[in-house]
Amino acid sequence: MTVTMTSNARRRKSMRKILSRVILYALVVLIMVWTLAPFVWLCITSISTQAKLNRIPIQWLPDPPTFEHYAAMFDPANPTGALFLAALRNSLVIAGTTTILCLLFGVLAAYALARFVFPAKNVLIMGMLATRLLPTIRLHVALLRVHRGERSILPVAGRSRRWRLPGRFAAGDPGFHLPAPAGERFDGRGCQGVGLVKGEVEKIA
Amino acid sequence: MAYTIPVLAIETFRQAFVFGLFGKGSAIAFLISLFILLIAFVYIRIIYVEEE
Repeated sequence: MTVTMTSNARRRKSMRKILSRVILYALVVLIMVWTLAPFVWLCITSISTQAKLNRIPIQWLPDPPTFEHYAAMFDPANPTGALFLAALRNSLVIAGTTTILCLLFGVLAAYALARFVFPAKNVLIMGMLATRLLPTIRLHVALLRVHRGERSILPVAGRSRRWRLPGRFAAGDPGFHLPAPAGERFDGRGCQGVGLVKGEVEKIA
Repeated sequence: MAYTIPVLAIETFRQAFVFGLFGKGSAIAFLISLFILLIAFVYIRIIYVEEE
């Protein structure tokens, strides 16, 4: 009797262990699919022709795959390629300069905050940490105000207290505009996705 | 449309959602992903060096 009970308990324990392992692996697979699926879809889209992308029903795997988009990206004679190479250069310069400046000032500030004692040190540290608590999506409100051509990025009452956008980003400068209006070309084709997102952002603003 | 300073993120958006060229937009986005993956890989290899 005792032997049977022990055997049953051991079997139950073993089954529970196997079940928990199966659930764990299923969750891992689910998270991996959730994470990687957009990249896979991105890759599939990039090796499909424009005609196949517009086809209904959707063709999940391009047959045959084409690398014409990648070839166009690195061809300076192609207008898209020239624009891409210019964008790549600009992005590298902006990202590189930002990284170097942040490191330069960040390291010096970190050393001062760690080693020196000065008035309002904790307030300064907490203030800097507090800025990190703001979700990045809130920046989109300011960007939308730039996009609309408003001179102020904050809805502060009173002209004298307004924060003005610097230099080229000011609305008066005809040289700078974000690619606008977003979704304009899709309204006539029945694709409402971008328009919907823009509407949501406008609601937040 | 006035557009003076092209950067990769905005160029991706323009190709895909302004011009409707999803193939080109996806190609740029995928290249950005690969580029970031490469930088991240090098960064992690440098940062997480096993102590002997």
